[in-house]
Amino acid sequence: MISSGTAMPTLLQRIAANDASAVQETLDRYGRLVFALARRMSAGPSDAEDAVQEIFLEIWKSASRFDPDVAAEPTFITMCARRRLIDRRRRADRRLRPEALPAQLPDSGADHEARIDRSEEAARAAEALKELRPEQKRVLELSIYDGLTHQEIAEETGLPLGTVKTHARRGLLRVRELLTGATGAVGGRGEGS
Amino acid sequence: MTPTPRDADRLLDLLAERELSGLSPEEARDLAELLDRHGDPASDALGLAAAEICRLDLRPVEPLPPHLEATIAEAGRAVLAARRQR
Repeated sequence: MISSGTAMPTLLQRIAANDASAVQETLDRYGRLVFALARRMSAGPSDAEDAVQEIFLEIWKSASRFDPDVAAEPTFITMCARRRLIDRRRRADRRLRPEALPAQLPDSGADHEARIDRSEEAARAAEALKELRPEQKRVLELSIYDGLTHQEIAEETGLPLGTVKTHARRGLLRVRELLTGATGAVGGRGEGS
Repeated sequence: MTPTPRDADRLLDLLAERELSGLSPEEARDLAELLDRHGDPASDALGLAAAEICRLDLRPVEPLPPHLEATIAEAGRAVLAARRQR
């Protein structure tokens, strides 16, 4: 369970409850996160700014979907942002690679500390990624970090497309299982590591 | 309703595809139909996993430009105000 265990409402719960003071606080806390995602997955600065506006509009409208017992708030916001960015990218029918835009500041050298939100949950995610089979990890990294489609991953790795898809879904399921302790959250044949 | 093995596989493929490279309009319709037919089998699970992995590789960027932040905040307050009036 992810729940903080306190009675204090989260920012998204306050947004869902129409607490206008939570708007600026949400931007203060998550503006950089969403901007970093948009910079990484957009064609240029103007596109990234448009995307950030779309993402936050969706967050204002759908904050009530957030359940602190299911995910941490930054994870939920990242999921919403990624879905919107992937849809935009697909609509634009162009693939965007990280190097298309200087999405990140140069690494400070203090690698882990420099990254966004080095929470306990993020540390567990890193551990979960290490637990994957090498081929699952490779497919997910090519997809999530390098922005490759499944077809492009098949070409890059020489794996059949169906195998790439299987690694992707099993890898994602395994990460979620490792993060939540859940098993079989979504049905299907032979999932697991 | 328990999905057939074929539907369960198709559902998982579409859910994973949605979180990694997006769906075509036809695939999105397929997914909506499958979710309608079989309920919501923790359909955010894969998205949350992808989000966790994605966050591992993000480094800080500059803050939102002030004009952008102001526009977004204004839109947010408008959404909340409209909801309050309903």
